[in-house]
Amino acid sequence: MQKLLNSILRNGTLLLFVFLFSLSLRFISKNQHYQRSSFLTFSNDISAPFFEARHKLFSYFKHQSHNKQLIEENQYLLTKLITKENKAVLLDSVPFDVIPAQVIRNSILLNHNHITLNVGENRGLKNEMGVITAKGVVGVVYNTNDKTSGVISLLNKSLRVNAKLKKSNHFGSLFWDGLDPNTMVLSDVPLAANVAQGDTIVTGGMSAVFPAGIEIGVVKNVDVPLNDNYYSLRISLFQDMTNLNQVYAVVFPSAEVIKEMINTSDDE
Amino acid sequence: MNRLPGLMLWFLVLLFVQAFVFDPVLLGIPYAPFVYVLLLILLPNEWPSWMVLLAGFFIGFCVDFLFFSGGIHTASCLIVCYARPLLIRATYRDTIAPNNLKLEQESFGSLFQYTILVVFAHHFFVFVFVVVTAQRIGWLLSAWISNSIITVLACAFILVLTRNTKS
Repeated sequence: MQKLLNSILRNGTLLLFVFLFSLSLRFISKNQHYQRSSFLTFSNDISAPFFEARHKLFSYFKHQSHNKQLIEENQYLLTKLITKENKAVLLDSVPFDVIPAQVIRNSILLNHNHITLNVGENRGLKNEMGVITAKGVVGVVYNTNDKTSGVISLLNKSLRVNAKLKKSNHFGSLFWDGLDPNTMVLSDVPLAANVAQGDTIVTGGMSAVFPAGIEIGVVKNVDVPLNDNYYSLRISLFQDMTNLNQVYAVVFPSAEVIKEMINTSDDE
Repeated sequence: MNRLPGLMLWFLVLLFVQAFVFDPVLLGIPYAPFVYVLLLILLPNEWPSWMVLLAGFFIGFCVDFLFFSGGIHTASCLIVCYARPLLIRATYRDTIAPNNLKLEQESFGSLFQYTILVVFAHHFFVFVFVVVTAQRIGWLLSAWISNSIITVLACAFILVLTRNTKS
């Protein structure tokens, strides 16, 4: 016993290091599963007011670029609207509403990136709402408090979004491989789909998060893995994820009903 | 222990600057210096190793808390704090009793050399924990070296500034 105590005392620093290091590795592994991370929620709740103050301070200096971005977005929306009116094409999704919000914090360096918005439950934001811009998908709300909310970024390796080819409606699963912040991967697209470079990818609408038909990006690279019946496509995003300001949270009028239906079918 | 209030002030200032100014997305640049590493450099040499480890854990945890980065900075700070005696011995090879060194009173050249060692070691582990998979090894090397260089320059700049105000 005396020997054991002596050994512990002699190697105290090493043991303390091992203990604290395992604790930090535990934090790292927990952070990879955002749904389970109470650390993230706590961190977002505490730090969001400071980042909102920073956003207010720095947005004063960035008015010009923000205005430019808004003008571009308006132009884009107007073009879309005119195209839609002229072709009489309707989105094949449930009618939805959007809640405008501003990004007060955004990270891009990690494998599991997050965004903080300056809008929370006070404006009707809820968990699992999709977040978009005029140019495409941004992420999914994972945590809300009264005035701010945390969003799991599209640049987060644990997020998968249902997406499809606009021209042929073939579905796949969109995710980030952690390499380039402007490029995503669309996997599980069947070889029957005739894919070509430059094809547009839109949301699939197979969930209560994003309605169908929201543009995401274009096919940059077509890859057919050996011995596989599915394409793996590299998608160039329309939305620059490193430069986010004005975003919109999507409100599904019947989100609860859809979620209930999905849960019921999953149980069966 | 009488240096504790000064260290606390450094801690608050560097953490504030790190979280609210040196953010790559905010500044619109790919890398921003991790100036908080200066805290690890400035920890008193006479502190016992367990205290240095706890301080490193606390500093890293606070940065992870603000960066939503899980335990990446905590783990890297811990490694650097554990290897601190080794890094000091590597820098101050000619010193007979490295434990009695007062780093801030040593020449700027050797302090700068020590800063380079700490920053490069710390940043290497930060990006190793970011990457995890081997496929991004090229990115890992470029991110590690580029970010380390700008952090070294930022730390040197701060050290020069604060030295001038003291004298």
